[in-house]
Amino acid sequence: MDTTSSYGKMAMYKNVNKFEVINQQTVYAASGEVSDFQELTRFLREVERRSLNAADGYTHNAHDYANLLARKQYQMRNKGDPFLVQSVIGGIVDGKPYLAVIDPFGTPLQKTAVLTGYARYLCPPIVQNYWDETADEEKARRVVEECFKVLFYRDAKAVDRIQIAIVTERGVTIDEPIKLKTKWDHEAFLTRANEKLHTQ
Amino acid sequence: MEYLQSLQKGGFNFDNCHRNNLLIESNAVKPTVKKTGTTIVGVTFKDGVVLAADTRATSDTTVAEKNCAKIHYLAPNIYCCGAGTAADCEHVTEKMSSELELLRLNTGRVSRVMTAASRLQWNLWQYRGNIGAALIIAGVDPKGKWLAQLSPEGTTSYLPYCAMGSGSLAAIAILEAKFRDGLTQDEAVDLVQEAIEAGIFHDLGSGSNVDVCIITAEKTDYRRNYRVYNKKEWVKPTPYSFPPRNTRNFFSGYLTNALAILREHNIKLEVVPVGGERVGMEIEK
Repeated sequence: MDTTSSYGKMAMYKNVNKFEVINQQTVYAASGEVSDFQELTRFLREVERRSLNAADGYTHNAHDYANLLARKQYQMRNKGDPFLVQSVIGGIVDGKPYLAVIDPFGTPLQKTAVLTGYARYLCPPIVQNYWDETADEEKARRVVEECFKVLFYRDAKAVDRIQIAIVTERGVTIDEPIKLKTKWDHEAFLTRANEKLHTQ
Repeated sequence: MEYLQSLQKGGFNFDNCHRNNLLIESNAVKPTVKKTGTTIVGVTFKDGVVLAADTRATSDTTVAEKNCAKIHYLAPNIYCCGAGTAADCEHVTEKMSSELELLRLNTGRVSRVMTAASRLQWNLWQYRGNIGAALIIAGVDPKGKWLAQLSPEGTTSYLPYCAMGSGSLAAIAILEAKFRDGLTQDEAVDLVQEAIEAGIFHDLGSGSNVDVCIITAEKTDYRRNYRVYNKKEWVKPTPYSFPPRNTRNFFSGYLTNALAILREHNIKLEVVPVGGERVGMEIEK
């Protein structure tokens, strides 16, 4: 997840934590309208709070929250007033990693790799060629960083600061934001060949 | 004579473009242009440049051609990939290759990539983007190796690596992740093949196979269908070759058959050869 909240093409807030921890086995993030994301977080936290208050030994897991979001987003879509977000739920369900994306219409899709926004256009080949489900954490981190680097190169509205959240059986860890190491000193750029040719 | 004054005197007539825009806005007629919905890629490496393209041509949402050739010849040392409208790419590059040939004959010198790029840029700019040709021109000339990216509106950029077409997003992701200076020829070919593969499998407008063209100072290596993912099963045989005496001489039997039929019906026939006194056949009962 990048750490920006933008106002159109203006990167208004560049140090935003966009991961919402619902419980120790579920993390919620979203791509799109920030206010809708905040509303849906409020909704999920309320459900979690009620479940805790009931104190009946039953808790909701990531799969439940994904379904809940799907129903909620579908309801609003039917009223013609959709939540303009692609929601992503990540967590552990029955000891296995769980990842789901819910699109603005309310379609839930359980996947092993989720890409939202510009990443849908740029990153599928990187994820397909260099990552598989048997990858360990180190490999997954590298692939994620590579994807964000490519996004920073080619998405005009991107910023090179990202944050990674890891959910394991032991709980949720949200790392400190990192600045991507991008390469801008290709030979052709240093010799400024393009500029010279145009000014001949 | 006054009406002659009101006629447009010269230059390109944009009337049809206005008409087309009006038609599209009014949803009356939706023209389906055969576009190349493409992935094309160019990469410079240590000794030269390598171009690659997919081989699918689409007409809206139908695949018009499963194995078209998008790498066009401009000069023995300059090749060009074309994305956008298929006809525009084809004709614009053919015309440019003729111009370059004439220039080579006139000057006695090897063609330069910048010549092709500048002339094409001017040509495309004059038509304000109405010629839908997005080109990647690559070549090695006495001044070195060049890779030029032309947009249909007439912008030129000389880059170390570039991708164009609808599949360019997928291809450029691979290039950004894996390009570095000083690639060897094999590494460069693997890189472009992976980039086109990304376009083929992740973009719906691109598909079928990969064509590759490697240009170095010594030689040009055009590898048509370098990788085949979707083989086009039936291919028209070129050229057609017919064995001699393959067809029956239909007319040699025609007359005998006609005579036989007429004899059956007891009709006498007088045959007069063409050029004789009476031309044609008369049937006497």
